[in-house]
Amino acid sequence: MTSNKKREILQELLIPVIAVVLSLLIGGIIIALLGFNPFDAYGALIQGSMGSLVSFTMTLKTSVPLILAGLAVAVAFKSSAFNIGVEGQLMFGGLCAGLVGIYVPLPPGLHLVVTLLAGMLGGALVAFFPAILNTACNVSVVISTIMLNYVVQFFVQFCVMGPFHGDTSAPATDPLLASATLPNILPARYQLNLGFIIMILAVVLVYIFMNKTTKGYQLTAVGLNATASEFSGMSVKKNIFMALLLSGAIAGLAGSIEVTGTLKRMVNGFSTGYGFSGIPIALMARNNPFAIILTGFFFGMMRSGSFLMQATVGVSSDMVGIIQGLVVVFICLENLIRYYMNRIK
Amino acid sequence: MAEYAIELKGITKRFPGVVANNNISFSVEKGEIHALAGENGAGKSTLMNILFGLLVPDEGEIVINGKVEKFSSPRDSNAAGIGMVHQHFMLIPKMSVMENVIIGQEPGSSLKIDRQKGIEEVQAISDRYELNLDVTKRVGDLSVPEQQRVEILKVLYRQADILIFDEPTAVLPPHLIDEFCDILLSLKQKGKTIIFISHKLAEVMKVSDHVTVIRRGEVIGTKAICDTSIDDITRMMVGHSVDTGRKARSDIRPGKEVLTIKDLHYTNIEGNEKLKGLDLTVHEGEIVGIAGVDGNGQEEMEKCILGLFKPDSGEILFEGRNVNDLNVRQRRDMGLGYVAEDRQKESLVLQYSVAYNLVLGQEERPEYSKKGFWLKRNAIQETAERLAKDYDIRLANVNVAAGTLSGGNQQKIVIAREANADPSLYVAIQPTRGLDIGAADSVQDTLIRLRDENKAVLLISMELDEVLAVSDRIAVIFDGRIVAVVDAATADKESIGYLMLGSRKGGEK
Repeated sequence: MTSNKKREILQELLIPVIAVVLSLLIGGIIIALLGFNPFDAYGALIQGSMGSLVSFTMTLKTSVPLILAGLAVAVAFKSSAFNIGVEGQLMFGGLCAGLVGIYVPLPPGLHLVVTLLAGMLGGALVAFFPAILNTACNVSVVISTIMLNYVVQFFVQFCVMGPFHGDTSAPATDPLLASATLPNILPARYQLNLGFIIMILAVVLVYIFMNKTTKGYQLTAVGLNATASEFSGMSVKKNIFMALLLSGAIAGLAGSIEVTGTLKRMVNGFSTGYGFSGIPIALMARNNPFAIILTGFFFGMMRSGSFLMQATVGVSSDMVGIIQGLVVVFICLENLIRYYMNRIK
Repeated sequence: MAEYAIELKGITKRFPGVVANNNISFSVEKGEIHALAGENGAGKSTLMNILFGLLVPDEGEIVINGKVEKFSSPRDSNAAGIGMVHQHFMLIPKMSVMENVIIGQEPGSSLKIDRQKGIEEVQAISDRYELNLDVTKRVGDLSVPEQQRVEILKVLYRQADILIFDEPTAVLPPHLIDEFCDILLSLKQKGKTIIFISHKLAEVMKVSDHVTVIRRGEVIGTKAICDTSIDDITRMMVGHSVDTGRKARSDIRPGKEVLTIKDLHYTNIEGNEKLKGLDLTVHEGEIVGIAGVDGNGQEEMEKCILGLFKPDSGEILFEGRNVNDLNVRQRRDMGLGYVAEDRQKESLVLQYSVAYNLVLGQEERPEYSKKGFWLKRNAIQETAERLAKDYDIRLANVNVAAGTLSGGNQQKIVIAREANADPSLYVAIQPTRGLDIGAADSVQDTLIRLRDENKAVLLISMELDEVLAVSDRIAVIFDGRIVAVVDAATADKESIGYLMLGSRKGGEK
């Protein structure tokens, strides 16, 4: 009985691993068909992302917004809401953080805190609209969050290129005040900033919230069985509303860390699909906050290693997009994988 | 000798712990309307699912038009000319009537559907059987009775000669039932054989030629309608058993009113008035049992009490206080315990641990949380272990997922949780459904114990025997009203049966 249980758990853990292996396999075949050596390509991918301490910390830094985006998706998903608007929430959060970082001079320390809070508030604000539409008029969260991404994208573009455009030819604002930027936590060449610690803190806080508080208990119950939750006296709509706001705030935090830590100014289109990557990152991790660190790191590896792969082997860095797409496909086929695993036994 | 369309010979079907059909035999003549009557859970649906090929009987044989048949899927029964009109429609609202009807047997080539031919054929059937449908209309735009006629059309299009109707009038408003009966008679006139499942005896008397009564999985008898009466059929349905198996209890001490319902009205989304001025009182220290046939307003009454449905008018008083404006959580915090009908869907989060399920809905109370925010996991664990022991919930430990337990143990979680919240009113809906005798017994004992502890208990059950065994007073619900309240100790099953079916004792033939 218990050994059966153990095997079951092992199997569940194995499924995402198998999905990744299958994606790399098919990705390798595609690389070979393109006329490159897949082993060289994957070698460069690993070399570029983990070959040295510099590249490893670079990968960690790239993973931070990805992990937070995954966390944002997971929080909403726990309540059964599919927040596909993380991308927009993240960009708007970045904008808000950027503006507070430039135009609201405050004492050091406090300024950074207020800047990050402004980013979280901005993300939550973008999530507020789909949330209230769902609560009040039963509008599908999936559809309203997807569509809002475009509204936000162009609004952010307008702000950065228009009223807040900086003294630069780049599509960006002026640099943030130094007091609003995240300090490095390692010597400068390693590039890792305080954002990494904040991300770890966020993961731990979300875990505690989900598992140790009544609100997390209710949010998860609503996601698992809305009818029983309603019969027990919980408000399903209220919980989904709350989960979406929280999700938006985490997305906003991701954007603000990118703006205050990496870019140190608000750049139009700074998010290259972090928010969308959050969806497979959360799916692969089964919405478990700690597992999201691992899956987010995996996606970060792909991103940071792809440059070396392109430079040395010649495989386009877009190849990692194909592999990530394959991962999504195989994660969605988890039942098929489970079926074959049971047949093998 | 009459020619038989269907002969069932010794059909037996067992499910784990229960014999749903026990040696059932009866025959249906060609071209007749044969009613199948019985209480909820008597085994009608199992039998029809066997005839339709959804279930395979353990024993017995099915003879269709003199030929022995073995059905392993609805495809087989279709081939033998049997069609079923389900109670819950299986239609695609966005498609036209014609498209819904031809699905699976589309005219034309395998590449292109011949729509014109489809329209002509389906319209011809509709006209021939006087179903009055415009087959080009979208199903979503049709009324409920019209959708039902589409279901009939589907069966006729598949050239069924034997039509099974599963409680067809349950979905119809009363004033359209006559119209439906006319359709049945017209189908019969055109030579179809019909099996008509119903527990509305007025309709049975009106349209059927024969009626077969099933009780507890056995055939009680088949009668020609001209030789029987509503009273006669009722007696066959509920049985004469003298021993009601009444549970022992201490003497009743009538206390103050805990639940008072006054002139409650409720109309559902479809516009059917389901509660038509319902009055009910439950005192502390008593169990009031609601007896009635499914669909007479029980569900609406339950959900109005819990606070999920908002009544059109009328009052629900809880210990003298009007709770109309309170939500579910507020009502529960006032002392409402509620054992919902469907434990897996409405009462439990199956993926959650047993311990978590044992505090579901109470998680913010000070016993289980600090300031309503931090879960007291140790307190929850201790409570869970105590309840598991007290209520004999059989499990490895309280941290296993509730979904891994058997149905009886799952129900014990719900019973224990709702009793542990110290309710002043305990509402239990079908609390023993699907349980084995041992588990059912322990659930009923809990209800008696709560009553002895001076709680008010409201038991809603489709099983008359259970209502008789457990209640102090019995309220009979029929057509959205409480039509009678009787003392359970002196109640007689037969007269309650008449009331449940909407007739009065000794009513006219």
